[in-house]
Amino acid sequence: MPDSYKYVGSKVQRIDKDKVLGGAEFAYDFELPGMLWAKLVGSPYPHAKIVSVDYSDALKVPGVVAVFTGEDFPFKVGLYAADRDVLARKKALYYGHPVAAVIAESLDAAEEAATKIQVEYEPLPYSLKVEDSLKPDAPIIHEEMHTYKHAVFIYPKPGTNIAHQTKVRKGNVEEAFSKADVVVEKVYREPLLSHYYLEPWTGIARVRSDGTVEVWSSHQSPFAVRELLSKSLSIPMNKLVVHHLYTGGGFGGKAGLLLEHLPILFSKKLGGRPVKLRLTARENFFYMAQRAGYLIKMKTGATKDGKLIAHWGEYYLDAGAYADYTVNMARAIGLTATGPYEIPNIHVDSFAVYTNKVPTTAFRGFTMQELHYAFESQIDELAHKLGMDPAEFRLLNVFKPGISRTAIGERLKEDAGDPATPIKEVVKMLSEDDEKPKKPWIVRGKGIAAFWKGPFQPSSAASSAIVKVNDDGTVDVLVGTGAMGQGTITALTQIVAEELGIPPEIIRVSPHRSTDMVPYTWQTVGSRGLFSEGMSVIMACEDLIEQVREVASIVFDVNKNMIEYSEGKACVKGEPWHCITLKEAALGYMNPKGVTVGGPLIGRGYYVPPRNVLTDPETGQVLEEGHLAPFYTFGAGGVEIEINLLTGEIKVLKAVSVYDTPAVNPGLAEGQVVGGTVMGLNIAMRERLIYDEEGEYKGVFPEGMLLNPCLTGYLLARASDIPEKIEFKFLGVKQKDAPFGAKGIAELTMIPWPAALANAIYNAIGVRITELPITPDKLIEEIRKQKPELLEQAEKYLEVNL
Amino acid sequence: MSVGNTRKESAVVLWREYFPRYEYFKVSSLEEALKLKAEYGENAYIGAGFTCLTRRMRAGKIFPKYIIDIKGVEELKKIESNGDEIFIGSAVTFHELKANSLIAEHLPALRDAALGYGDLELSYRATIGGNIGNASPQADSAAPLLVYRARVVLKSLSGERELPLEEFIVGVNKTAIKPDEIITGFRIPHPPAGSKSGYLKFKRSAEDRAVVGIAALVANIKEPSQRTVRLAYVSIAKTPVYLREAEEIFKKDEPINKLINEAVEAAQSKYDMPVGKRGIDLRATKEYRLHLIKIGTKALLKKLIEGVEVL
Repeated sequence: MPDSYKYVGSKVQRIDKDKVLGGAEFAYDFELPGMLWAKLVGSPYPHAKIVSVDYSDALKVPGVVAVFTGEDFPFKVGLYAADRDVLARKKALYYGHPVAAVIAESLDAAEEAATKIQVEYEPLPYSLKVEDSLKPDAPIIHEEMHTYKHAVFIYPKPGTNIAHQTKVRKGNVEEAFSKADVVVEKVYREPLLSHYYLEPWTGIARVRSDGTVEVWSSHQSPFAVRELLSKSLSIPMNKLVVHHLYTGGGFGGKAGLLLEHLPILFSKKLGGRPVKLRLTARENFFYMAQRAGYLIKMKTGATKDGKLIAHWGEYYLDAGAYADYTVNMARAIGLTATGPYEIPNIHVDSFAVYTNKVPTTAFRGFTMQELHYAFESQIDELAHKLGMDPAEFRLLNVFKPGISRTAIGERLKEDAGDPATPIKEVVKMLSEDDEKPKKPWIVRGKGIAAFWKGPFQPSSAASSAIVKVNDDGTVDVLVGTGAMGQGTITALTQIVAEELGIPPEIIRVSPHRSTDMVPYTWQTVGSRGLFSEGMSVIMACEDLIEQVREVASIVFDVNKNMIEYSEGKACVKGEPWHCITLKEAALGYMNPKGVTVGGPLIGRGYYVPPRNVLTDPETGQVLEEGHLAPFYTFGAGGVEIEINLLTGEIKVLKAVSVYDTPAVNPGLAEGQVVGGTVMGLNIAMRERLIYDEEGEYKGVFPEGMLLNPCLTGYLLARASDIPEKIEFKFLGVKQKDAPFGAKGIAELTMIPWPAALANAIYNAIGVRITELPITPDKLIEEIRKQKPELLEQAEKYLEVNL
Repeated sequence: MSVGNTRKESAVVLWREYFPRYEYFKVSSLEEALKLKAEYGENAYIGAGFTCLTRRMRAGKIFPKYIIDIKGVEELKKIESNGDEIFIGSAVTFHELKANSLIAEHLPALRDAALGYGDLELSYRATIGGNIGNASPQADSAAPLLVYRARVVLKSLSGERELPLEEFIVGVNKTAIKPDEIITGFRIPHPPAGSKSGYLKFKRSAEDRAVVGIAALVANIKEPSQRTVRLAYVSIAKTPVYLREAEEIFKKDEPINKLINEAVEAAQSKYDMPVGKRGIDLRATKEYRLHLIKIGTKALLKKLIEGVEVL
């Protein structure tokens, strides 16, 4: 950012400080007078016919108002693939699948009654693995897939467990492989993950006497929730108000289909009384959707002069029992199949596959961390096979904006960014110190990974903003984007301050939004919030400035082009004593004789991605010259690690990353980098949802159950797990149609780490790890397989000298 | 589960926010607690820090009808020595273990275990009595207490008895305590003069429970006939393991590294995490735990014998 900006580009402090002071309100705490509580009960089987439900005893518990089952709501809900029962109907599809709900005057009564529900099941064969779901004799999880509604770009395969397939076809892959001098073919595996946002999902709904349905819930995107509910429940949008409070984290997990339909439907059946459904942290593992698992098969070829020429892939997403959002993720990973590299010959299929696991949904990075882990491992290995420096090899193949075409034939804009410089910078930042470890059983290694990502959204994904001036000259900004900790409120305030030339202190962007009060935005996902809302807000400010100039031109009786606006006032050029301030014009300017010119100032702005297009279902190629996303952020990350050859423990000494974009608020951007780095590295090293996929625990745990639904089993990073050094740079390469040139940052910060870590391990000891997380037991096992001599040498240091 | 059969479930799966109802007693004397325990027996759960009890209640594993809170009982918070033995009250927290000078001077392995236990918040609440009474396979304090030959002090209205720790823990979350008894503390003989001891814990993240925990005590190492080497392990079997074989192995007049290898093999043979590749606790593979038993035992003994810290 150049110094010429007054507010944009500086570290303005966060505005939403009430979160750390305990004053922020979340749906979790929200209550209404006369409110009822809902409690769900789940299936103890991963796949079973529901024969009957007996809740007569539950109804006898004092305070219980009603019990509902799947048969009370005989329809499906969903957005991209409407595949979800309101409550399990006819069949339960996974362990924990909600089969009934108790509604009572208190949560205590609801929980007490829930213990008295009896359900008769007929267990069915089940599948906990993508490979099993794809077998010809696999149990079909969604037998009625052919009846499901889905988005136009989703291609389900009824009669199978495939919820969606994306195809990318470019050039001639077979011929290209025959010309390749080196080929790397590997299979990569990544487990299901939990988002583990701090606020478990909560929703409260009521129906007003005029039929208006109101919902308060913990979500990322109020308008997406409204769209989904409106379509699924046939409620007109003007009779459906979604209220957005502060959201206690989302990471994609609160972007897609949530559970708002439940309290709404319960309330509707109970005369509109408010109903609250609040999940416990443990319930959240079962009732909310998690991140898909990945099985990625790749074959990549290059010539000996270091040019990538061919790529083949099959990318499978383990979608669990419901794939409403995961189908679109399968599309995302397919269409961005080759990372930030140009490859002329591509043949990739990506699939979302149903299994009898918890449902899955979007996750921070929207498949890009998962893709880059595999693809950047391939790239590294190809470089080693070619005897080339991995950074040099990347630089030879990375996209060249204005020239390169992506896997889907999209020609990148000239100002799309700078994919090359981050790679060079990361290498420099890693090389700065080269100290050797003092102990011989500890080895050091460095690894890098490049990446790119844009928001993966419908080509029409719109945003809008309203900027209002109050009587006293202060400004209210209305936007529809969710506030879940990412800092948009503060950064948008800076943008409005910059545009209107007024101090941030007199601007307020409300953290609370209601869909009937604020203008539309599609979603708060894909690192698009500040970009899309920023563009909308800039346009709204420009609209507002035009209105003030208009008023001034009438008042001072000059042509409008004689009026210039700056620092909160419109003045006649060359006559700075002839000015009207925002305050004076706020409600219309009244002259000394009482005549009023203009009216209340309301600026309106919007943003729709320019020339974003759909892709061909058979080839994945763009249907016309256009773009998949309004921006792509390019970057690279690298780690320096120490491996303890005795224990397999990895210590990250340094994690560096470079992004090609400027930052509107470098302080908040730094927060994103640190958070994303910690999250990304922890995913690389610790996180996974565990299922008994091999049937080893039969008779010990209930079959098909998620085995670690708690923080002693699901390991989040603790303070002491954070790397000692986290360093980063923002290059400040500006995109022309971006707010102050800035592109999205949030998700990008967590993409490179698993790949960089795997590459650092390879660099240090020549061992390649193709499965996440890279835990000490896995590393020791792989060293034993790939380099057993390293272990033997290290163990010699344990001999006792007496 | 047999496919194709209809079956009636008495309950569906349910994760509660509220605990089922229980009656709570905050006692200020041991007498009061013993009376309640005599009255309510197995239905009454004793707690001080409640870090394990609440977790097990939340997971739906236990449903206490009565809870007796002993954290206010002063005599259960003592750490004292009579010259021969050290007494540690059952309501002593891990933080107090870390900070106590008697522990630091005489029972360094227990101090190591306290230092590596959970996070700071947890260490201010969790107690040694709870850690042992809960009889978790991962109980950090169990390994040091085993090598120190601690005895568990059990009281009821009808009197006091002591059990060696080895006999006290009998299975996963199972002990030899009687329904009317309360653990009042642990009696630990002062370790042999000149002995060295320590605890080594492997974990998956900074504040995790043990993947494998090893305690060792070493004295008179240079004189085979006088030599004392004691080893104990947690998180390798259903109960903490005291490796009795080690006592004999190290009495042999053979090269020390050979004896260590023998002890390692003996310890590895105790692995008993009954099912699955990753054991019942899902923490790590069997192969890895056997590997940790090997390198951990060697590293800890090297440290105690030579003063060289490898891990």
